[in-house]
Amino acid sequence: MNLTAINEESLLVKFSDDISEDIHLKVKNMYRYALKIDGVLSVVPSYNSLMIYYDIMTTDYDKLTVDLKKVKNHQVIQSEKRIIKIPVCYEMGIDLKRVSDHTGLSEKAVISNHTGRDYLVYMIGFAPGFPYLGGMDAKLATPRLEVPRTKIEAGSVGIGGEQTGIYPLPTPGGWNIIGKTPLKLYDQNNSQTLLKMGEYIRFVPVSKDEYYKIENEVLENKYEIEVVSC
Amino acid sequence: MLGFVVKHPGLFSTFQDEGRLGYQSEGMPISGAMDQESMILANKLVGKEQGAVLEMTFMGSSLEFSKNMAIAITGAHMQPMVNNKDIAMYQTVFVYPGDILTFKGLLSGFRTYIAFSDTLELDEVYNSKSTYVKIGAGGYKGRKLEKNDEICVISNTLPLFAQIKKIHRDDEIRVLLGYEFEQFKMPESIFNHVYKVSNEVDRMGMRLEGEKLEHIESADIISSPIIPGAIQVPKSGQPMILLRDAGTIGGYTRIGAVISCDLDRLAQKKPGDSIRFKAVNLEEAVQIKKKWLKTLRNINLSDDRRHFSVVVNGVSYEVYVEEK
Repeated sequence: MNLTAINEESLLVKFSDDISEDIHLKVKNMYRYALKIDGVLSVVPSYNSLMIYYDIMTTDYDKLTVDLKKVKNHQVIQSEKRIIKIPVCYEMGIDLKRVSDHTGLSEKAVISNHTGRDYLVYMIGFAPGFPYLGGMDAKLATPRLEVPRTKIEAGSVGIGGEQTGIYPLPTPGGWNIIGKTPLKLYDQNNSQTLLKMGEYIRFVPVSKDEYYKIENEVLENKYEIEVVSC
Repeated sequence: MLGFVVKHPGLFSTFQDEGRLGYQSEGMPISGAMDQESMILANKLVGKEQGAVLEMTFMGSSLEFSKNMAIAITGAHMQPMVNNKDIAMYQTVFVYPGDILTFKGLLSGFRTYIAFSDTLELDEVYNSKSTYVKIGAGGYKGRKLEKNDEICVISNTLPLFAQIKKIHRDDEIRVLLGYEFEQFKMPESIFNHVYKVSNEVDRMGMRLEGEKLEHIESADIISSPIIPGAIQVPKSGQPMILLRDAGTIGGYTRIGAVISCDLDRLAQKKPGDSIRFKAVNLEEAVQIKKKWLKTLRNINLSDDRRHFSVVVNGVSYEVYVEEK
C-alpha cells in the first residue's frame, strides 16, 4: 500500500500496478473502512487506488496515514455476492454484425458468450452511474470504431477493445453497440445510480417486445430489478 | 413568487454553490462555483453563509427584477449597471421591481458572481443546487440560463448594507507535485516555463499550451480518481488542468495538482492568459489553505459610509454618504 498527497486536502492510496479481483477486494475493504474515519469527506474507489478527501481542520495527512495503515490488520472479508440482472435486447445492437465479423463468431455465439458470465463492477466513475466492468471473454474483444458516433443512446451496451460496458447517459462514444437495456443506470428523476462498486452484473437477453414492456414498467416505477445473492 | 426574469442570458450562466463533495464514488463530479472565494464573499454581502449564486462566464446576464431584494456582485469585472447606471461590486446593492441589471463588458477576469438575498427556487441533486449541464442536473432545469427564464424565490430576508474592501489575491498558481510525477523525464520543467491558456476552457478543464512535458514511457495509466486541480498530461505533452465538472476517473498520467485555494484564481484565467506555476510542498499548501479559511472567517463587512437621518417636509429619510 502506497500513499501520496495529492493536494492539501486529498490523498491517493494505491495498492498495485495491475487490475485483479484480489486488488479489488482490498480497495473495497479500504473504501468501507476509510468512510468511517473522522474527518474523511469523500472516498473514490477505482481499480487499484482510492482518492480520499479530508477536512484539514479535523485531521491531517500524517494522522490519516496512521489511520489508514491500520486497515492492513483487518481481514479482507468477502461479502455476499450480489448479481444484478440486466435485460438486454441484442436485436438493437447496431454493431453486432461488426463484432461478429471481427471475432469470427456468429451473432448468436457473441450473444451467448456475452450473456454467459458475470461481470464485476470494479468502480463507478467517469460519468454518473457508468460501471467499469471486468470479466469479458477476450474472444469478444473488438476495436473501437475509427470514427466515434456523436451520440449514443442511454442504455446502450457496448464492446470497446477488451472492455464491455453500458452507457448510462446519451454521450458521444466509439464502442461497438451490441444491444440496449431498458434499465436506467442513472435515473435523472430521482438522481439514483443502479449499480454499486463490488456488485456483479449478468446480461439477460430479451426480445424487442419484452424490451418495450420493461421500458414501460421502468417509466411507471413498476419494474422490479432481479437480484441474485450467493 | 417570481424573483427575476432573464432578459439576456449571457454566454454561459449557471447557478452554482459549494458543490457536491461526497458522491464521487457514484460518478458525480464535485461541481460548484469555479471561484469559491468570490461566491462566499458575494453571499456574505447579502447576509448569507451559503447559497446558490449565478456564475456568469465571459459575458454577463441581464436580469429584470420582479420584487425587491439585495444582490452583490463579485469576481471578474464586467462593469455592472442597474437601470443603465454603474453600480459598485463587492457591496450590497438593493434592487426594486422593474430594475434591470446589465453588464457593459468584461474588463478583467473571466467569471462573475451574483448572490441574491432571497432563496431561489432551484433543483437540488445530491445535496447541492449546482448545475451540472452534462447530465442536466441541479440549478435551473439543469442547464445554462436562456432568454425569458423566470426564476422564482421561496423565501426572503433583507440584509443590512455591507461592503468588502477586496481582499488581496496574489496571482500565483501553486502546484504540489504528486500522482505519477516520477513518470516524467523532468517534472520540474512545469515550474520553469510560462504556459498559455488555450481556447479549450470550460467548467470541465483547461488545456494549456507551452513547453512539452515528456513522459519516460507511457502517457496512459490504469484509470484512477482525479480531483479538481489535477494536471493530466496526455501523449502530446501539453498539460490539461481538470476542473470542478471533470469526470471522477481519468486515464492519463498526472504530474501533480493545483492547490485548492488557487483554483479560484485559475477560474479567472481566460483563453490567451499566461500562467506560471509555483512549487509548494504539502506543509506550505496546508498553511495556505488554513490562512485562507481564517481570512474568510474574519472578513470585515464594513459600512464606511456616513449616516444621517434627515427630515424633509415631515418625511424622514435615511441618507448614506460614501467617500470616494
